[in-house]
Amino acid sequence: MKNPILISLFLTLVAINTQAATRYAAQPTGSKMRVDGTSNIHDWVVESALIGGWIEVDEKFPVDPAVTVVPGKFEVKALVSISVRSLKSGKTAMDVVMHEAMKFEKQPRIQYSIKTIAIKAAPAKAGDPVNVEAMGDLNVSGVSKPVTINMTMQRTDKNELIFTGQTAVKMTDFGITPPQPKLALGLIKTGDEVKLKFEWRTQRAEK
Amino acid sequence: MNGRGYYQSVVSLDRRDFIAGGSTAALLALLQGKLSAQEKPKPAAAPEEPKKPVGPPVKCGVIGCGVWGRELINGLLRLPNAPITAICDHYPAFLNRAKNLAPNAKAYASHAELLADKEVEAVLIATPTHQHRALVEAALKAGKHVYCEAPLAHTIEEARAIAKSAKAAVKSNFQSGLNLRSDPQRLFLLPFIRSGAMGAPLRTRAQRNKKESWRRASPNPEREKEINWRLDKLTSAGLIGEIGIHQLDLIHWMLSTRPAAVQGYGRTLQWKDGRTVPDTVHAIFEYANGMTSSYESTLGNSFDGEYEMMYGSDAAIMIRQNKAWMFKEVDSPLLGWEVYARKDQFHKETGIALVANATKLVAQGENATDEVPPTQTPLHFALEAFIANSDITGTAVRDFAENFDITDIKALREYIATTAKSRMPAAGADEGFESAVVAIKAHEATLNNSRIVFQDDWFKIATS
Repeated sequence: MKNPILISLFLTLVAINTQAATRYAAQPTGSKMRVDGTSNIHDWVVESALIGGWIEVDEKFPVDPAVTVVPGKFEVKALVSISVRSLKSGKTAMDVVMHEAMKFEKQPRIQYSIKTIAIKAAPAKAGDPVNVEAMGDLNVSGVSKPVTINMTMQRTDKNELIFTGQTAVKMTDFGITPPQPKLALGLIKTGDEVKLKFEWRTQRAEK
Repeated sequence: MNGRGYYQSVVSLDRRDFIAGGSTAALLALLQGKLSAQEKPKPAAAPEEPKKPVGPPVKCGVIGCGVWGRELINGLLRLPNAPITAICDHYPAFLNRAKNLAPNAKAYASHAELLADKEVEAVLIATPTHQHRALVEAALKAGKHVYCEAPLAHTIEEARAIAKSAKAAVKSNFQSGLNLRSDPQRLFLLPFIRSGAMGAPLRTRAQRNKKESWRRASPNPEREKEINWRLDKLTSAGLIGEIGIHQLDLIHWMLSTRPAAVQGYGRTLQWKDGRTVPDTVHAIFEYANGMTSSYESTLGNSFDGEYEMMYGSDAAIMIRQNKAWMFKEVDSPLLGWEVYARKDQFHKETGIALVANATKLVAQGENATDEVPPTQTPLHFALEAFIANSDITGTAVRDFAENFDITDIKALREYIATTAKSRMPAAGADEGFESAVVAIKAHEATLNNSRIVFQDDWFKIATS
């Protein structure tokens, strides 16, 4: 490269841009995801303790619990990733049926790409959990749909962001046929709607 | 079973009946001495038993292709998700026999080659007991899931080394060959016995009588010595270590106990061929709560075969050939369901059959008092559990590695622990080790005709 001044200017600009975004990576332990479903025979639950991924926020995003929250719409980059096979009911047979219905071999992960986080109001007390609305694309079984999820965001300090929330989705919206496995006692018809509940713990990633 | 219904009217068992395909039902009828007057009506609700959903395949390698190794191969072949990609034995004749059973498997003469094969995900070890340790350690180091036949080893030191490596190898699923721990009939009995249906446990006994020499033939002297490792006290864990361990583990598991001391008697009475391992043994175990157990086994007589008995103040329980019966005392409290249960006569005693799938039989329109249809062997269920659990561990490790730092062993262990509820019941390193200590010391007592007091230290694995 020829011009050192241009180069250093370019590098500085790049540095400013990368410094502006702070990445929080998913913590390996402490997260949980729960899916509650129904059927004509009995309700069912599947759970996973592994939610991977990361979220990148800029310097305007309220990560510091000591600072007053300014409501607004924040552009973020985030990918929440859950391995389909990590979702377990405690019964192998049911897990196999579920994983196959979700076509895990073609699409091994459930992914939620968050584009915007909207904060309507500051919490009553500084440091309290903040009510947020995440907007992004939810990809299940290879089908992507825009989904908005209401969450609460907890900040224990600047270095940790914990998102807790729930939402309801329909299997058929994502091209999943609610399983109807034939078992010894008869035919089980799974209900279409499922409730997703999660707690996602992230930690500021070292640069 | 075929669609013909379980019982058939058998008027005369001529050759044609056997050949024409009625043989299965006819043979079973003969063996069980039961002849039914009419064909049982097929239940309307359940036609053919639908195929049970099974998880993804786990590729297996079998090391040790002797009699039992080939039994493992046959067991794996019957599972839909246990492809055998490799087999290994340093003895060419055994390797060839195994090749006939699993022609698509790669045949290796050395275990190092098999363990280096990236295709192999899980390894099953069925070599002579004294060779287990080196193989288990190498297999775990190679990152494979490991099934190690029981007893883990012929000495406590080696069994401890195996258990320690197994517990440290977080990314591997380890299963010890105590197959009864995966058997549905025994699992069914467990809560029943633990709930105290027997009353206060007084004593137990287990026996195994089979007239067999245990000696294998071989074309040359070195091979002859190698193949008869069971007869040499330097390499064998004896009748109690090699066979009794399963029965003793069952009893100790059911009663949640382990012995405080053991008195042994060992004699070589029938097969006086220079062996240094007794062919007839007794072992009496003492327990802290005052209970005693006896274990008796001989290679000189087959009468009355193999069974376990547990005697309590309210009832005795007998477990024999995958079935169980309860013999109640006249003054024991009523459980209520005895009136409806099937009963079998044993000489002058009436045994209430403890049938594992009674509820399912009733749901299918069968009578809970009917003869229990034959189930799979304990080995089948143990292999099924090994494959399922290996898949669970393997998937958990892969999921974790995809998202987080795989060198964070503490977090990995924590995550794998959350998948525990999905695992099928099976004997792990702890169970395999504890039973090995009991059996090895009991065998030692029979070698020296001595009494040994169990030390707590012997049961410690001491992981770092």
